Amino acid sequence: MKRFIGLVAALTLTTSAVAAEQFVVYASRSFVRWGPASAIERAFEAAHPGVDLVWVAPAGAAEMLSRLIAELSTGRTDADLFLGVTAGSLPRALAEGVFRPFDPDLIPNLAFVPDDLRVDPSGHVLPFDHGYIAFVASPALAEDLLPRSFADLLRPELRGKIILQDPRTSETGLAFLLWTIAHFGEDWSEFWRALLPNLLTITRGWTEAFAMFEAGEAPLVLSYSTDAAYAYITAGEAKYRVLTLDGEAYRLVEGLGIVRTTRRPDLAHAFIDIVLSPEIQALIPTSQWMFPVHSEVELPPDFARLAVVPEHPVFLGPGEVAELLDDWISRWQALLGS
Amino acid sequence: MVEVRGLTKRFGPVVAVEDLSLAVAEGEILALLGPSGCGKTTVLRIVAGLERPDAGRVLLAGRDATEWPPEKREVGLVFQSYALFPHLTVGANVAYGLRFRRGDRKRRVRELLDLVGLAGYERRKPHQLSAGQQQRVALARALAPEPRILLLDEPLSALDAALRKELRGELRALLKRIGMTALYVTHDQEEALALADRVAVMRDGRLEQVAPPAELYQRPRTPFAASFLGRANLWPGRVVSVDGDRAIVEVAGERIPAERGEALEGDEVLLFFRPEWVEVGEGPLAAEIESADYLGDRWELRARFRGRSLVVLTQEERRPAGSLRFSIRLARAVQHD
Amino acid sequence: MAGPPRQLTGRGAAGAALALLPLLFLGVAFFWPLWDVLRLGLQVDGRWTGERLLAALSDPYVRRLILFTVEQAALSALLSLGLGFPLGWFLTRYRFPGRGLLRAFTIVPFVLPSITVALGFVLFFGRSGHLNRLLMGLFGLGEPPIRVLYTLWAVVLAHAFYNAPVVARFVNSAWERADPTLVEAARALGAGRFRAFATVTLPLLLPTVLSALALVFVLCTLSFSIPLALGGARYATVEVGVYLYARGVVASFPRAAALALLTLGLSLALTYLHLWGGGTFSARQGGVRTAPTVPLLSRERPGRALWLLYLIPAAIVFLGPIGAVVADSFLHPAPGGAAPTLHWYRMIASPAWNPFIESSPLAAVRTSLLVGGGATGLALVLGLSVSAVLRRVRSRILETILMAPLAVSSVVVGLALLLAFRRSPLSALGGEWAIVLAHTLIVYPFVVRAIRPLWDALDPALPEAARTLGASPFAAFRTVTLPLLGSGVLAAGAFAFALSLGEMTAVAMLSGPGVMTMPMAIYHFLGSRDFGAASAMATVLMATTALAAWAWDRAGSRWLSRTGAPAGFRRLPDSAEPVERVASGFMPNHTAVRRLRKVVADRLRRYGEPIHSTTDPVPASAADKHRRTHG
Repeated sequence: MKRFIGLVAALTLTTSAVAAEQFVVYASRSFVRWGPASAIERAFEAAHPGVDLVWVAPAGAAEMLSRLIAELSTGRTDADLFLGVTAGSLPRALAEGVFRPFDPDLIPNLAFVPDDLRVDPSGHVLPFDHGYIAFVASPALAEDLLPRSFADLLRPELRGKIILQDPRTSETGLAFLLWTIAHFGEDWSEFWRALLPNLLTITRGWTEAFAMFEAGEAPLVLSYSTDAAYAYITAGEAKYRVLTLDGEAYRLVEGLGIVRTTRRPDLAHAFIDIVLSPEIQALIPTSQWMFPVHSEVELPPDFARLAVVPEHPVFLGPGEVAELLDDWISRWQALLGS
Repeated sequence: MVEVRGLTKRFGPVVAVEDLSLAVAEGEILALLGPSGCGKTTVLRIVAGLERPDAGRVLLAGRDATEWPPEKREVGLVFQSYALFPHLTVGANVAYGLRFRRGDRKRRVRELLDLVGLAGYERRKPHQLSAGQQQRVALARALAPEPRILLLDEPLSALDAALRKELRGELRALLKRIGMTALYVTHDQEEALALADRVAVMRDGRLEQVAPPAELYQRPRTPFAASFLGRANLWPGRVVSVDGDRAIVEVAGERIPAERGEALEGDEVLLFFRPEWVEVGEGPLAAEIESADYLGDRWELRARFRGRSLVVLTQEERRPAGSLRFSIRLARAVQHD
Repeated sequence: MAGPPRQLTGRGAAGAALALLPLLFLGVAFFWPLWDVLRLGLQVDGRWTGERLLAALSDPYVRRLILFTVEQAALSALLSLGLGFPLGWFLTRYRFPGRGLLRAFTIVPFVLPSITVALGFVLFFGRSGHLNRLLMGLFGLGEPPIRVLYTLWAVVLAHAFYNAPVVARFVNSAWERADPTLVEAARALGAGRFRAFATVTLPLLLPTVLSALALVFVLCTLSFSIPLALGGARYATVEVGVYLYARGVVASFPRAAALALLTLGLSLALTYLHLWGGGTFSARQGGVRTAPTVPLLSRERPGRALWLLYLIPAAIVFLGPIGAVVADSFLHPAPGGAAPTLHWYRMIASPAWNPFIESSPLAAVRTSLLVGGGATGLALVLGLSVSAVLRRVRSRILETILMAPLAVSSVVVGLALLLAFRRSPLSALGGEWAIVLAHTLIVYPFVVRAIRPLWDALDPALPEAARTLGASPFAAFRTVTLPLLGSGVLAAGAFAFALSLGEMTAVAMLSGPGVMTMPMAIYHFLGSRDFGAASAMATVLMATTALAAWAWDRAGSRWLSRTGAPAGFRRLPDSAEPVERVASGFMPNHTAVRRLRKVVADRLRRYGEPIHSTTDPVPASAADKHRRTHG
């Protein structure tokens, strides 16, 4: 009996893992794995001694956002801030009331963010980086098979050679779905139906897709237009080829917002200001492999040279996505069985 | 000391005990005797509090104990299977009932093991003992908390015949020595007769007769009691005349004198006599021998007397198919059921 | 044979109190939460309606989920049979060194946490996995020859990995009990070897095979971790669908609840269907002799070497994935080949927060052990009290109520508790408690199943003797019944612990920051392709589970050997076939299903006693009772 009570006590103790002195940030797995998360943490904790910054990032951004929405609907979330929302999922986040409006006066560095990157006119979400989604090929893919257009992606030689991400759980996956919708209009589902045989798998997040690509599971992955720069700067060789399709790549602006239920809005604003600071923004290109949003941060020369900027950037604004997304997602889901 | 009144117990459609009343006096050993399935164990379990009667009362030392749980009744129960706790030592088994009472447990355990002749066996486990030893431990365990009454459920039935005989004498002596009141369930008439002060014969949930062993043997009141205890000849006949406690019973044209019992003149009765009450060799009656079984110290003859079967005992060998002359030395008129 | 009902000698109040404890617990932790799921799935604006259910059913994606669930379960059952039947045959027919060991190993997949199997499949069957690297190296291939992963077949093969040994075990024990005289009679009547097999042996085994198929089908229908980890977005089952809707994808609780109701209905419907098909077979068998074995290696019959054509691929399928996990946990991938390292073990021993598993690895290990311990303790208390209640009060309705969680899949239990922890009284408890309660609900029916046959076999005179010696009902239970059930209880506890350790379905629904167990951490490591850390933690998890399973097995056999023909027990309870007991324990507990289980149990008769003495539907007749009381 005594032992049982001890056990109960021990269990109760562990439940306080997320205590009052912690500031919890839900982020995409890729941001914590690749991006300047630890630099942000150091800067934040130096500025706010006694506060423990806790990253929670077991999944892709879209999945984390869904989870946050689910948690908010049950009234139980630990998150104070969410990092990784894009234009694709922004309408849903706003509709669900995930974020509280930020106060621009508490974020001095906001002044350096150009207006055209501020994708949320309602004042809930702020951008922290941006870039382009494109296909990336490994050297294992023969030169003549490199896809240059959407039609090339359907070539039978590419059967089982492409890794995509799930638009329901991944922001890159969602971006590709929106890209095909922007490109094909109503015919997008025909394209997808034809594309399915060429997919090796559809992963839940970008991180595992890219890891599988790097491990050689498949030679073609949906990823970022900066991956050639990444390969050159980290490995010294431009082994990866970034491929725009019909000259297009999809524009992705990643944003962050303060969770409605946070008890520390002051810390949240301070956190955002640190993310937007020139010191952190300068780390974005060679860690997160995205473009910084701070107008005065210079790009490293190799990055500037190798990061692909498409002739025709494609982008659906939150207004265009808004209410149609649910319908698109359920149509996409229905395609999976075909 | 212990009394049950009007006990009735049913299991579904089967009536196990029906309107049964019985009292055991202080220091008495009462045997509850009957064929298996007659309800005798149920009576025992009701007294112990392990079954609840559908009707009737249980009185312990004059108080109504019908609703008491078993642990409050202070009865000792020796199970047919002994039910020794296999995970406990002999000593701990005997001490089990003492843990709920006050007093010096160790001494009491030693005393009881001495009493049953198992001194020094405290540390053994039950499975290391012989069946007879297990039986004694069960007895010691039941006696340890000094129960008001000891209930024994066929305690010797798991033992072989020789040991059973030896132990029943010991058991009686021991119970008498400590003056223990006991209710003893058995289906073995020899055991009941040898062990009990009084025997209660049960049949189909009812009491047939309660009497001291000798009386029960010699003056059974029912054909069942007559035939269940020992061998009996039971011949249908009619009382033709009555004189005091004597009667003449006519069987197949023969007039045979007998104890009257409760019979009246003109009654259709059964003429009851034990095989050993038959004088063989001479006499007015003749029967055809059908078989002869050698029992060692004597012969048991089965014969036929005018269509009625007859069992007698003789000292000398007789061949089947011969004829036999005999007379009935002692007989009794028993009412039909 | 179930014992007759015990007299309620403890006064009514005590009995009622005893029944109240589990009812109260199940009410708060199970029925009320389940009611929330029902309401969410079947109520719109306070009105009962099938709208949500119909909406879900008319969604092509949901229809796809259902179809795929059935498809993969059917394929898995067939493949399990294909892989398992020869193994059962092999084990029955041949003598060879290590036969006992091989038989013992057929139990292993059952206690292996499924996420470790999924991990093993990724590591072993991946395009760049061990098997493909080996084959490409051996034959100088430019392309990986094995393309199983990321297809439907990965899910099916992983399910077969789990269930083929179960089928083998079923077939083996049925075959061993098939009377060889029958085959000899057929041969004497002129049937050839093949004909005798086809006309005598096969029909004898058919009921077993059908039961095994039905069981595997149900298990695969309810499978979660394997399709989640191996199926990708395209191959999701209904169970995975519930999870996706509740936690990940579109965050729609009503849709999750509607799907949960579908999965509930689906599993029950399929079970009934199989019952209808499989329950009609019932062949009595059981000769005095058991089938003779022949040596595997014999000079006269070199043809037996052909078995290698089966055994080698089977060994690869079974040992490869597990071997890959253990090997990778000790290897550091480097450009020139892998180097041995303990790096991954140091990593998972770290108390530092890891954002990708939303916990520290060490805390995940600790939480797993604490949750396992807590759930085991609660399940033992609950299992014992439920067993006690069901022994006293023999009522179908009460039994159905008290064993109801058995009929509900883990993901539904998880969803129910996820909803329940939103409101009082449960919201007062920490997140670990949700997992502890879920695991308690998932494992206690097995505790009941393990304990009840033992308890029924216990001589009722023993606790009665204690009562007459002055012990209260509880004291009699504590000092006599419990010690005698002791190792059975221990075994049940060890098994419950092993189950809890490996359980991931409910955890997937209920985990959160700081609330993380080993299997879910492995899943997260797998998701971020941290194979080293995943392998190390999986190895630790497998070792812990194996230890618990070993303790389970030891406790069971120790008890048997210590007491021989066990003193205190009227007969030998059939605890020697834990796999079948556990396997059939997965079946939902419905009256009709019970009939199926009885068919299974009949096949499994080994010591002349059915496995599920507790589920015997024939009530002890009054005459039996009468005889018992006076016997």
